[in-house]
Amino acid sequence: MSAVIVLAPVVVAAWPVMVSAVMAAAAAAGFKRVKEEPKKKVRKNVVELAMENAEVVAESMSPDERIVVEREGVRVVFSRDARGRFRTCVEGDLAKDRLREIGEDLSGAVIQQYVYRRLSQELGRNGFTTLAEEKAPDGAIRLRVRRVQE
Amino acid sequence: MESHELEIEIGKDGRVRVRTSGAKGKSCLEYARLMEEIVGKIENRELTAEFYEPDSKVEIRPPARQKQRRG
Repeated sequence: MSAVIVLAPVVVAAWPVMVSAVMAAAAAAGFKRVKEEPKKKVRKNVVELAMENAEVVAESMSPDERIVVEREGVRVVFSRDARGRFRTCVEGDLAKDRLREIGEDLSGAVIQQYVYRRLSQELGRNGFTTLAEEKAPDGAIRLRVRRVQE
Repeated sequence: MESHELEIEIGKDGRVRVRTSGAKGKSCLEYARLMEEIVGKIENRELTAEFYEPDSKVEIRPPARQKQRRG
């Protein structure tokens, strides 16, 4: 072993890239994509989360920069705010603390998916091949990659 | 020819832990730099015995640039 490195993710991505990470993370957590409600149903509690290190780049002025997923009455809206920050809004009849926990878990999983996809792509470009890949019981994704250097 | 390996763990919150092996000397820092460009900010780095051995040769292709920030 020659080095052990710990890194904090910094996300700067276009909206379509974030959508694909959201869809993968949401599906894995049992959420399904739903349409925005034309007439908003009143829910007991709403929790807003903004991610400090996640920025969504404006590629166009598309009004569709929102994605809504739902599981067991808990609705999560991902969006890009006016300053480009990636926001998560969790709505439901559960207690606010529980909604916050659900939102933080799901937002974390979105970032995990984003990092996983970017690593897979860039390590492939650098000639690495994947030897092993697994999802650990604690939710972490483990990869072992190798390349031969002449 | 040398075989270089990376063991990568992506935590539930996206935080990444990487162990490099096989790359000797300062060459392992090239992998640290690559990971920094791909993932984000290095929070912690520990160098181990192989770091002090003669350097391996490492060639890195810079990652595709992330989109530039705009308004």
